Amino acid sequence: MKALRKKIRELFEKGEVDAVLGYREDPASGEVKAAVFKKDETLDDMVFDGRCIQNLVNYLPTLVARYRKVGVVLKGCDGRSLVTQLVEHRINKSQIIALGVGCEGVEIDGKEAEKCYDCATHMSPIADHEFGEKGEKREPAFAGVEEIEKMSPVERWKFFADYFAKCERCYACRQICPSCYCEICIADQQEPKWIEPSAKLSANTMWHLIRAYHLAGRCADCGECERVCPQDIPLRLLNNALEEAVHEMFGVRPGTVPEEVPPLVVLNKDDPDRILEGKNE
Amino acid sequence: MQIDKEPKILAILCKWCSYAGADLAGTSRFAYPANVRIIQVPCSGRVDPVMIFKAFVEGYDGVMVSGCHPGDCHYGTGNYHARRRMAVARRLLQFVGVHPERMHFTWISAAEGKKFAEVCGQFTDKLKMLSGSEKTLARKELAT
Repeated sequence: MKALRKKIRELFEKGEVDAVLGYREDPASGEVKAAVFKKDETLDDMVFDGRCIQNLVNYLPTLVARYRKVGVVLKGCDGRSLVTQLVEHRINKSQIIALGVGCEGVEIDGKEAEKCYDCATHMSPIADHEFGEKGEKREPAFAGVEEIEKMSPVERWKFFADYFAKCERCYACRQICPSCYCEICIADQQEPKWIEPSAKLSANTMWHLIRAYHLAGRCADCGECERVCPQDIPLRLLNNALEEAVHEMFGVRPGTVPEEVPPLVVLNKDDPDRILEGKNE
Repeated sequence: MQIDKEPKILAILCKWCSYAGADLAGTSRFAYPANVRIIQVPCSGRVDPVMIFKAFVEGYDGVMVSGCHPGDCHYGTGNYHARRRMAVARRLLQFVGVHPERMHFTWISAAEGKKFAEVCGQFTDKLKMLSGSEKTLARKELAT
């Protein structure tokens, strides 16, 4: 943390950044929230610990429009998120200074977040400066997905239908997702209207399938959708199932390799036809 | 349990190969089940998985998508894109509980009228074997 503060001060003095996006502890409430630090502001209340669960990449597109150069504090998963934004040319790397911080896991209500069990990298895959332990890269196991895959089709549907039925269609999952940024979302589109706006099971099912499909090969598993869901729908299960499928079929894990193009925007003439037959279970 | 109704199948076919193949099946008088409803699209690359999701939610028993054989796409590469998309869409639907046999993705050329009739026949037979209670995602089950 000391090294991080020192580096940020140095960057400000050299004029290499105009603003730094990090986490600030509110002295009154003790809450940790995303905050923008500017040149002459104190960095004393800047923190980085288990409470820093927010994905800061979500704020970057607004910030790069306002400032010439922005520093950003990144956990491993947020780093993956940043990579996905860079390959889609939503943000220009020349405007970003990535400050990778070795993450030891984050908490929700004092318990380790579920996404941390499936952490692929503790350190951001893209970092101009690294702080703390780099940790090892590993392949996520996705125990939750395995659990579902043991079920029969009817059991699976029962499991998901119970959750989909609860959906309020508040679209918090869409708003929080750094990768959901269509100007007109397919859910808001009137003609053709693929998804009915009312919160009923059939329309909710459409929404959740489409949301998951549009994130296939792009979702960096930052877990924000699941965290903000007011009904605690296990959205990460859908994301992870597709991450696993895409990794198995196309050998790509979104965000872990800088400059790797999302698999669904490119084609490969050598893809085997057997991928059309689905997974043998 | 045998389903009492005939299965309803949606076939999304590309204009240049598979639709022409279906046309050939008709002009050659190959019989194929009347369960199949066809939607023509300009290219299999046009097929958005949203269409498949919608079909299941609206109550179709099975969806088949067919385009030109790899390498034969009228527009060059549409079917390669389609292959990746359909593969991912299938995995997603399978994950939430659509029986894998309710989806069929294949390549049918304009000369393969017979193949089209066969594929439709086999797919219909398969769907008839599946029990109606295993129909997931369908609107009538979605009544809350």
